[in-house]
Amino acid sequence: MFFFGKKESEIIKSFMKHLDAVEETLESFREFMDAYLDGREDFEDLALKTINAESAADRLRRETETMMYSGAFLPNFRGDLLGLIEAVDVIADRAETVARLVNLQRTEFPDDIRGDIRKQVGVSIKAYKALKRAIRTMFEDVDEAAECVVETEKLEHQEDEIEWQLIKKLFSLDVERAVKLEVREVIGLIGDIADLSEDASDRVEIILLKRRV
Amino acid sequence: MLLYIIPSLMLGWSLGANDAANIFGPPVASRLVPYWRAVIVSAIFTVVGAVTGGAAGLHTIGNLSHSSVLESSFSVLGGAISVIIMTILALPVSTSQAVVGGILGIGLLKGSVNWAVLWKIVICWVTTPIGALFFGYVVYKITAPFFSKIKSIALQDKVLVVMTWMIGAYGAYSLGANNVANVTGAFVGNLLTVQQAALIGGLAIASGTLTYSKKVMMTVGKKIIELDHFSSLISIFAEALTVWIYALIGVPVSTSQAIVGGVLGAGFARGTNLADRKMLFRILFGWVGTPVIAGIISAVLYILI
Repeated sequence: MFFFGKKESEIIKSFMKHLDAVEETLESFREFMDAYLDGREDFEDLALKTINAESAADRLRRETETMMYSGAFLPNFRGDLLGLIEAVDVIADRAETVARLVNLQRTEFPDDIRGDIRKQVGVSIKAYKALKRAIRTMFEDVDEAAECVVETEKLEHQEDEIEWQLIKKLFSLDVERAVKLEVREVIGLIGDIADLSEDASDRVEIILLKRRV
Repeated sequence: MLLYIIPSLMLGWSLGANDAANIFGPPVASRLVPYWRAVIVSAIFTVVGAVTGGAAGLHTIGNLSHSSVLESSFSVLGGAISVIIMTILALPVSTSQAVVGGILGIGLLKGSVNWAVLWKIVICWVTTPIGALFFGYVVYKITAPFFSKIKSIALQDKVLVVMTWMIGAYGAYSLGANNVANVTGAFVGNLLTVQQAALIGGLAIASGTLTYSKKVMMTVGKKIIELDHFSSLISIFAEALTVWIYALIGVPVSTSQAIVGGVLGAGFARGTNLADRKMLFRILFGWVGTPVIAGIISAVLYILI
């Protein structure tokens, strides 16, 4: 941070806060899913906690973007950063969507796949955390950031495998087709958390590539 | 005296308005540095370059043809008019080549061309883009490993901004030192001393940069910035170095052709080939078409008036 001006340091700080807020949304979402899958009664409160955490992340995104328009960073990098913060924000949006959907629909997850769903949520959040590390290190060490981008890609791939296995298992179960389709939609949306993390990490990769000489 | 040098002032103004883009175009167009600060630095260093490093070129152009003050004035007018016409027609134009063409037009009519000087000039024209290409390639290869060792984005950006100002100032100095001869060189020996020619020419170029360079900067800058910041700065450095070397030799050359060479060189060093037929045509036209048109215009003007 030593080489950045005051304006830039403040923006980076705000950007990091946004990353933390998105992580908080995802952690609330994990708690919600655990409670829901365990059949605990506090799942509605936890859904609300996820929704509120997402709103807080949204506010931080807007604040950071407004600060960026004030003219910090070199212009071409400013555009890249704006794109990146938007890309990170949709990850929190997706977690919120799943929490709302499951809460409203009272999705009936078959017992046989509940453990796999937890695993899918875990790996998706892990992918986001790798992305977060990539963005954090991007400002200080471009090589380390590149390693974190690869890590995010690996975790997204891992999540993808889990997702397909899960869908395969779901459709082999003896449950109603409507339930299968509803659960499949939720599985797809949870998978989006990892996919969107990878999309955002692609943006980090482009930022790094643009700077490679 | 003022009447005779009006064409020079016009030419200097147009040169400053057009050629500052070859130095600060990419960083200004990509908003790496602000326009006003860039043109002020450019104007100052152009005058410094003209006054402290322009003598050799002024002597060369002064010796290209032995002519009277009136003939010199028509030669420069021919060059200036051809620059204006070709700019309007959107044809590639270089002031260096237009002025030499203008002097040759009248020189040939009178049989007063110094062929040895002309050959020296032509050889320098041809080697300008080639030299800049070489420097662009070599300088990129030498400096890129050092730049890529900078891991922090913040430090990278700081280095780029510092490099922009240093290379920009050097480029403006080279432009002044090299191109001032185009502006007032024709009057050295018959109307002005070298020092007077350098100062008047330098100020004329600076006035063009200060008053009318934004549009060209944006157009040229956006074309060059297809490269990344670092490579475009290396291209500008290669251009500045080449033009500076020719200022030492004493031959005014085209900064537009030098920047093309610089961009190609840095591009090759990065493993990309940015050359195309259009680019080759522009360079060849600059060597042949521009001086021929300027020569015809100045000769016709001289015969008519």
